[in-house]
Amino acid sequence: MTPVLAVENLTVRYPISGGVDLTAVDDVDLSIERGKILGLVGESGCGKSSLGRVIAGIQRPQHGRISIDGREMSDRRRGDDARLVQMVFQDPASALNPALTIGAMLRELLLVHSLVTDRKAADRRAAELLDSVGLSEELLERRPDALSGGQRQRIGIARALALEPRVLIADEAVAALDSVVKKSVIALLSDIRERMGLTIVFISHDLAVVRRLCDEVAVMYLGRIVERQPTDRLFEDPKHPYTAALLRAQPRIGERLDLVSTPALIGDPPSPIELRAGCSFASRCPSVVEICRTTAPEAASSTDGSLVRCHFPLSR
Amino acid sequence: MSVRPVLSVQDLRVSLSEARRELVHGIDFDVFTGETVGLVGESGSGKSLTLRSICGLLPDGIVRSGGVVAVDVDGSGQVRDGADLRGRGLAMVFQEPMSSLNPTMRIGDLVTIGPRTLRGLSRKEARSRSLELMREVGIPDAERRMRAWPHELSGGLRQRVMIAMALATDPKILLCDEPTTALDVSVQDQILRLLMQLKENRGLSMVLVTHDLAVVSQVCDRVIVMENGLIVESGLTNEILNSPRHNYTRSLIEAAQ
Repeated sequence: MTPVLAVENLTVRYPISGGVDLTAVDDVDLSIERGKILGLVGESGCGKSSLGRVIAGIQRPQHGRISIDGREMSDRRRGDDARLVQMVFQDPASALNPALTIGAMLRELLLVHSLVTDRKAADRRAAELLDSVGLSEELLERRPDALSGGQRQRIGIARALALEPRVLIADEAVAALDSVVKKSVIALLSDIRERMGLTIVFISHDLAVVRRLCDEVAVMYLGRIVERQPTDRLFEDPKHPYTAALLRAQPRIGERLDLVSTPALIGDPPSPIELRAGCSFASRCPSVVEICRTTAPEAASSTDGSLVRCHFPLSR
Repeated sequence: MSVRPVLSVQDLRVSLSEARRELVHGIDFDVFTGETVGLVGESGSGKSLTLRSICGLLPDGIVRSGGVVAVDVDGSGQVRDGADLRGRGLAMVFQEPMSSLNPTMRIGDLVTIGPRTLRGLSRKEARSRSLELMREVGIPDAERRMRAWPHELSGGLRQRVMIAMALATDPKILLCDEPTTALDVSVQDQILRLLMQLKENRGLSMVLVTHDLAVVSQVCDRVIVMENGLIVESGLTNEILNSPRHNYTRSLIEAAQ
């Protein structure tokens, strides 16, 4: 089966002062089957948002290929290609035009992309879209500032769905929401996947949310995917020492912080400006040995799509 | 645990100064020496306003419209109002270390403000005190980092700088407003460890505002749950998290699992 989304050898660099580059995404391969929700996790600066933005086509990679349904996307997506991947952003307040009512915003989108033929059809479709994200069509007359955070994020999702995408990129889409609202938006994303068979890349630093929502999880560190596994396996039996450390650092209800134990991770990730030889996690890895500092490990993948990039993967 | 509270909040009311709309409706709680008390609730519950009114740092247009914030810094029984202490005895750690640190000042100058202005140390004394503080909060290579700008540091290091600034006046009570919310889990783990170590070493009392019940579970001795400007439930952390009595608390716990 052709994956809905296939990314090959994707690299994203940002020029910074002094003629040097910051490598945000370093030669990443990634593919997702239709109707799956893939969690993309990692610490700030690991490149997860850059990867998401490049897949969505709002930013160009330095090199690499992105295919949707087996068809390669050009760097400049035109026509229907521009609709295929849509994003839901973290802060819906700044992602929605404050001057437009929700109805006007959706109508414009639908008409510009020729998804409806006239204004009347646009209004009908806009009402349907609100219904599909669990909102009353009365909100069509309102502007974003008259909505709650949870309602705005549902509008952000409706806006993305309006374009009938194949892939949805949700970048920290529930990070700014209170826990109860967060839970309902997560349920909505899960429901949308069920109903529409939509494929979702769910970028998050919140492992608890990822565990609840995602089918699979890819862990990024310093621009690379270091591990990918089905969600349950990743949480129960992490193979990469970095994944294991992230899981250990996650606080849980019912557990006291134990000051005698060593911290899960010490210090910060190394600079993405001067990438050194060897494994990128070597400087913080609890089980580092000599080869880790000199030789970067290859990604070892298995037939089910699991992957680990470590010389000495953990065993249970 | 002494019988006299180090901080006693009685019938605290916070209001919008213009509209006279009350946001916190007369709440009471005590904090004892060496305790960590969690103040939890959703956005708009009044938890941050409560914390800020303890030290008189309410945002513009919002005032304390009633009640008492009695702070007994040295345990003598002589209480003073928290708002009058201005950094002596009480210190605050904010959520967003990037927007809370003056971006036009070097780290060394930022950390030196407290020792210079509030403790009246000479420039040289203040500098060596600042270095001590930066080492105490685990900033590696502190001497060199004195010359750095806030934007050159990672989020975790910036939060350590803010904690060093808060410690500059040897506070007895640390007021923390979502101190780890903007941080990655691994850095959150490090910062929570640091706060707990400081608490032990310095005998601090701590009030921690957070929406994260897992963090509460990790570090708080007691927890106070707020909803719409009122305390709906309070008690020992284990008891509240294991057998919440109030529906609102129950929904928070359920949503967090």
